[in-house]
Amino acid sequence: MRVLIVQLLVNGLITGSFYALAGVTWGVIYRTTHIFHFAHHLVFAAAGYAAVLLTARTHVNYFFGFFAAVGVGGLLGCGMDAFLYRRLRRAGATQATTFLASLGFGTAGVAILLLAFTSSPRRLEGFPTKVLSIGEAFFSVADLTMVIVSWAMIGFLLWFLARLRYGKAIRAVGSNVGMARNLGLDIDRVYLLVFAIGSGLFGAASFLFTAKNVAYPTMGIHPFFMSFTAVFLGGVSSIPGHALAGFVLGFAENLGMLFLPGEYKTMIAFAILFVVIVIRPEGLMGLGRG
Amino acid sequence: MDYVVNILVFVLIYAVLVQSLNLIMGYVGVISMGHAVFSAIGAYTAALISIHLGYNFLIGMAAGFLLAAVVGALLAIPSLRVRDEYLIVFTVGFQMVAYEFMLTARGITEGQGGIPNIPIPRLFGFEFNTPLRFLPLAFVIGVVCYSIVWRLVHSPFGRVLKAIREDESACRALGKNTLKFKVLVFALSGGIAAIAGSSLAYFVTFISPVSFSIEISIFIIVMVILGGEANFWGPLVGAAILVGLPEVLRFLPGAAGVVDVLREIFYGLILMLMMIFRPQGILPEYAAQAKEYQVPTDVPADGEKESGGDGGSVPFPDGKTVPTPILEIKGLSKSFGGLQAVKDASLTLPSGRITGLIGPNGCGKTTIFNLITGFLDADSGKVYIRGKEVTGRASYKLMHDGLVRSWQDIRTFKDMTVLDNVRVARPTQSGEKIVSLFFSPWQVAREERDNYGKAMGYLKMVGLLNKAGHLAGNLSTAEQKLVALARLMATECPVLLLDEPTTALDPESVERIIKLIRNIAKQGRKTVLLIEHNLDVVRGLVEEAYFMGEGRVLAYGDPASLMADPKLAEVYFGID
Amino acid sequence: MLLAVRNLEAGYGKKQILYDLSLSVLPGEIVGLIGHNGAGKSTALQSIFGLLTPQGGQVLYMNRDLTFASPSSKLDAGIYHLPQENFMFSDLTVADNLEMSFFTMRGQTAFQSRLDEVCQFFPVLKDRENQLAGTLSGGERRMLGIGMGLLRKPKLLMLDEPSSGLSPVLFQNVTRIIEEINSNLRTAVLLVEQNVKVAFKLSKRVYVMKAGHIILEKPGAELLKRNEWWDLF
Repeated sequence: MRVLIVQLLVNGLITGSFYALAGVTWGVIYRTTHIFHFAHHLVFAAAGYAAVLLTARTHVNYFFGFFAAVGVGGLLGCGMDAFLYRRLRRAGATQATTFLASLGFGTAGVAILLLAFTSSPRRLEGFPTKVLSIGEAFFSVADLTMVIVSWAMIGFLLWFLARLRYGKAIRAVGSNVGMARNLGLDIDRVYLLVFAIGSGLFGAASFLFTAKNVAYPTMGIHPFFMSFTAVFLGGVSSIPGHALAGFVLGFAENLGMLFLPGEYKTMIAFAILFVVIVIRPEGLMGLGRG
Repeated sequence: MDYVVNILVFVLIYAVLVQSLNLIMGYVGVISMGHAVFSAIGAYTAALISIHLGYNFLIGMAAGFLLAAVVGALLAIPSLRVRDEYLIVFTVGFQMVAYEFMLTARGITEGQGGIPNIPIPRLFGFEFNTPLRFLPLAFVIGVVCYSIVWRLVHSPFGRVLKAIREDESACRALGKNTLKFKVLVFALSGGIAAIAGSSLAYFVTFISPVSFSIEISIFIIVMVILGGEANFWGPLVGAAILVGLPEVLRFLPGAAGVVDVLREIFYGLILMLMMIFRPQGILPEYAAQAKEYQVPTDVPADGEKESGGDGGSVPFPDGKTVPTPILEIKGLSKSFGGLQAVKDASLTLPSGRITGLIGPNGCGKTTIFNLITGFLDADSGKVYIRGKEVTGRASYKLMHDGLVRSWQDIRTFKDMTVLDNVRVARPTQSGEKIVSLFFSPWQVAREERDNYGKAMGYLKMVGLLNKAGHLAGNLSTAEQKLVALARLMATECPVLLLDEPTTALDPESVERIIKLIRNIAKQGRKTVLLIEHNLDVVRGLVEEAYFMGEGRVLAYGDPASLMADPKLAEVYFGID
Repeated sequence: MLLAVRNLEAGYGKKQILYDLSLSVLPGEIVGLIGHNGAGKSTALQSIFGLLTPQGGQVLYMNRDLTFASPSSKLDAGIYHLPQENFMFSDLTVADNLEMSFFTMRGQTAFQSRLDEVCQFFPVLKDRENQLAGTLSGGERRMLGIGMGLLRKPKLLMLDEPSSGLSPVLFQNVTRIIEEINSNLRTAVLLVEQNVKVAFKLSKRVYVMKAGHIILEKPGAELLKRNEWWDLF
């Protein structure tokens, strides 16, 4: 029994780190732009395929797959803002309209991936498959990488937002877009940047996921659902809150298996979200509605 | 041939399903990412009832309808506490939890494998066991459901729904219990979706979770959007195109394997492109067009001759009457965080007169308005209307106590006609009750005729008779303010609270509105409380005024004497 | 002539707020703009600054037509607009807020030296530089707002009701600072105010707005001599 608990704790740490990263990637976009970017899941899938295809076709080291994932992810996210969202903004579209357009783009995009690559899963070639252990709990190299790189990425994002000029601009736009405009900030450019960063980081998450699992067209749906659950659970206005909430979700999902069969995983997450939204819409750490 | 009939049945079933989503998406303005769940409730309930209890399919459908209606009503409640993006999250959660339940609660739903061998529906010995036989049944179901929705939407109830979608607060201020309306619509929407789901179950005789996944919920949304939100025939068009067309694609060579994927691409692109180029859908919203109205020839010149204006004299047991102040507030206080917005404010509104509420910016006038009209809760103090305490009463109930307010930012229902803006404000319409709507149609029709005439009368009074059929949003600011005034008059409330009625108007329009307010007050013997910053308007319109400063009521009197008081001047213009 | 606004019309869609508005500001002058609430004073500042696109008329600045110039261009030209509310980023520190004000600054100017100058005017900003702006008191926030403006060393400072929400004592402080900025730095000020007496005291000339129009223009000193001003509202 003790072995089981330790294993679940380890799994919780791994999944928690992954959801934490997923959370901040969507959270930074949503907090800054208030666009309900449903197509975020497409970025995850596209990035995963980029990594897999690059290593499969060119047989380069899987390391380059990471950059392919980040690059493709960032470009796709950025492109969506430049060609879809910006257009809708100019036309004065409501948040609902933008959400539906995003929904449509994501749906079509995943279907295109399905058409191009079929649903058979792809592995990331060459990634070390060694299994390690801590005490009586087991985890793979991919799992360890996931934990380390996830927190590294989260740390990078927080540092970027806190220290760098454009990071502060992103936070300013998220905090008070009217005043940002009043100070002459190019809001479109800031949006583009935040989409690039958020999407690029989600692409990194996809690489970590693919290294440990496989790539398939709908791979982004579940991570995306977890990401926005984390954002609303933690409170829209607090990006560290997104990471914390994501971590808690991942942890609860695994520890929950002590009490409920594994199939109820998604239900746990959504049930938590359900309850929190009704009782405390501003989230656990939120300072009001973003 | 059977194949074509098959498609037709599916189109009909989906047309019903999409119409049910249209009810909440188009008419109430709520996007639900989990609508397929209601279809699932109908399907599984019907299947289980028919298989395990052996009841007739009509019982199965009715049971599904009821269960889904209850779930829908329950879902309405959190949906109303949260809005917009939270609602999307909430409905996604609802869909995912329900789907997981379908997969894992094998005892009830038989899990992923689904439920096969659902009994074929039969009525008086006739079996609907082929597509050709099922087609008329599906058609009848479709007609019944569409008729119900038609009746609902083209009725006073439907009018209120549209108003809720346009501006819920303004709708509440006119006396409508918007929560009740939304819950009813959610319930009906869920119930009709369940009918579609159970029809599907009885037609295919097999159901499994995959027919009720989030992809299906998205599919339903796409069909609503394509056909046109809030357009009555939109769902039929949307279903016909998106269910029928891909089947045509199947006949293309080489298309067989990829039809399903192509369909997904198709849906996604449609959704995206519609949002970019034509968010309102293929068919324009039926009501969102200017209409020519027949002006009744017997419209009275000055509109109303009804009661309600009598300031209020309460007869005492000894037969003598004592005038009651119509509106009284005592010791009202409200603070926000550390800021005391209103402090111990008391005022009495004499009946039948126009009273002003003036003071420098930030003195608490708007806060007092919001406190009186139920949009804010007071920390302490009491509000009385005609001697009855109404402190803290919900905004929509105050209209029934005789009090109604206007808004600084006008808030006409922009996508509704001018006439409907006024009609929706009419009180006690039995057509706003579902039971009356379906079971007392003559009474509803009679009231509609009356209200039509009355509404036209009010429009004539404000001089907008010729714009009755125009969409309120297309009118100029001045005209919209007139619509708002007509709307207030239509409520027949004796107490009118007007919030800066002349802002953003050119001098001529200001004059026009002043004259109109004066006429309305005199003819209808209304009691008016008026917030104004433009002192010309105050001087021209108001008989007495309350002067506020820093949250307190400082003085009361006619405008001239107030302005002659040096202490008040100091408050208004600032101290050195 | 620093700023010349001619027959400006502006509004929100169908709702017209400004009708035929004309005013001017000379270099180094303090000009007041008063009027009842809803008269359009804030709208005037917003459309002059480019936050709201004018629907008619002209905005000339140093003889250049800047009618449709963006806020960014207006900032470059030397105009700074301080809104009445929401004029800072509550989630950012005081230092970061000031950095944001400097964000679109062109040229080689050093941020640090400018920052030091501003902190001389407002020492409290230096003390609180790592504090979240949202936690500042009302008076401190106003200092931050003005400080953010000073950072750009504008030639024209447009202030929207700098007295709102402040106690009389704090407001006196702000008034004094406005005077200092004007006399020491030769910055022109277009001052929208609710507290008319102070507006009259500070301003060389005062424009009075009513319902979207300018109804009067008089020297501040002359208006100050009157006993009451009810006819202006």
